Amino acid sequence: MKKLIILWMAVLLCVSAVACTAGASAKEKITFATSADYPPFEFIVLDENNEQKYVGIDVSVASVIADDLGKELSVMNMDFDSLMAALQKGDADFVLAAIEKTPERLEAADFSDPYYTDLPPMVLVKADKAAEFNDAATSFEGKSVGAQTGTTKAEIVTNDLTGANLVALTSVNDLVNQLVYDKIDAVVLDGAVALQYAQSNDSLAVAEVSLGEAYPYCVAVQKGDPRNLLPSINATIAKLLSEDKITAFAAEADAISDQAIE
Amino acid sequence: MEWNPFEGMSPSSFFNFSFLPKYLSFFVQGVEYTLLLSVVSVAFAVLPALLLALMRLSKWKPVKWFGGAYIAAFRSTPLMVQLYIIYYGLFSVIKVPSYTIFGFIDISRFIPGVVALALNSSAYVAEIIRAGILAVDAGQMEAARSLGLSKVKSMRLVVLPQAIKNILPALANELVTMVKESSICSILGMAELIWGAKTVANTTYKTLSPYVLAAFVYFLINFPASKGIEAIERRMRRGDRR
Repeated sequence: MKKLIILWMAVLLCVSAVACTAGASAKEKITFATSADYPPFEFIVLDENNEQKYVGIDVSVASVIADDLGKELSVMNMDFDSLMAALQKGDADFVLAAIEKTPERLEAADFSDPYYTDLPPMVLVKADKAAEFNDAATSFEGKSVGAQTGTTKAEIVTNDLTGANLVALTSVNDLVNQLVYDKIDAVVLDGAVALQYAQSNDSLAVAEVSLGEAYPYCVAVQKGDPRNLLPSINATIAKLLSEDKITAFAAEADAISDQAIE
Repeated sequence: MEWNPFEGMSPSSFFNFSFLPKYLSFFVQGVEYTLLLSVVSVAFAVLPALLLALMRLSKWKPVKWFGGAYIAAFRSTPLMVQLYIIYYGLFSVIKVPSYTIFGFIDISRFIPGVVALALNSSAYVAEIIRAGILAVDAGQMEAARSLGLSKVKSMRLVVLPQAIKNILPALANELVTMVKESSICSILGMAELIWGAKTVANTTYKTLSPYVLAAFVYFLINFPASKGIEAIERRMRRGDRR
């Protein structure tokens, strides 16, 4: 009995000791939060050493931002609807997650200049029904339409698709499963993401309906920018745009994503 | 609309495992994370649970009440909510530095996860221990007391050693439960098995089969474990024939 207790305490002590040996890092860190379930913008792949690695357009931009600030980038991965909370709490210094600047979000955070404009949002449906969904005002009456919680796509479903019932879920993956197994009729996604799913799954296609123009993506920082990051971030974005680097990042991310699917 | 999960290899089919072997490491690390998370949590739950159980058996009303309230609170609310409150609430006051152990476990997520699971588990383990103590014949305590042992000594030297026989199998069952329950930690990005499956599903656009594989893995861990526990229980019962 006594031996058992001593053994058990020794094990706990070892665990705590390992946990407490946190080392100090050489370079000052800057934390960027994202929701890495959204190829080609941000997703997780394995590198040549079988290590998990964050990649994608936003990750590339974030690493240049960190370089220009002279800091080491650390990535915080979470659900999309938790991003703004993490930023407000101060856990993250800035957020890149294919985020558009909206009036609602401006109340919770400040935004940089736009760095990338994607294809307009699209509606992903079953392949045999692509032609049925051709008009935002009439084709969605009584249909269940999915979108990611807390995104502008969810607002599109409520505001623009007349008569549609919004099914809001946290993960795009779950939304696509719901669509494939006929639990919902359509999913509103960013154009690039919708096309990728349509391409990788024969039973899915992009509907004919058009949902208006695309909004550009911006970097979000804490409200009032207390860490004074925006000037440097905007300079980085201007530099990347003038050198046409972001198009290159996009091509690179698409290639990595294609490779990941194989 | 008919669909057949066995037809061809559509990316959304249940059994399309073509993402293996490339993404095997997500599942291997996921299993390691899951096992570490659940074993450490249950280990850390045992001592507070013993304390809670003794509190509930205490004759002193405030102590008895506190033990009962803790157990009631943790057993009557969802683990998911407890996890959120502890991760975003408690651990916004306590800052855990981001540091990686064993190459893939980030302690700034792992420690809040362990704390939440251990606090939750201690409520259940306390009930296991209490039941184990109550199952020891009351005559044992009376006999020890009449031999002149103090109350604490009778509990420590006579009742608890006998109670352990009742407690251990149930504790092992709690571990099996914890292996499954810990999957909830994936919502906060702890890289356990379900998180691995979710990440592979998102990266490869194969939206279901990674979860099916994860289910197989959970089964392969828990089924042999429950069989093992049954064997141990049988072995421990051998001395009971009087």
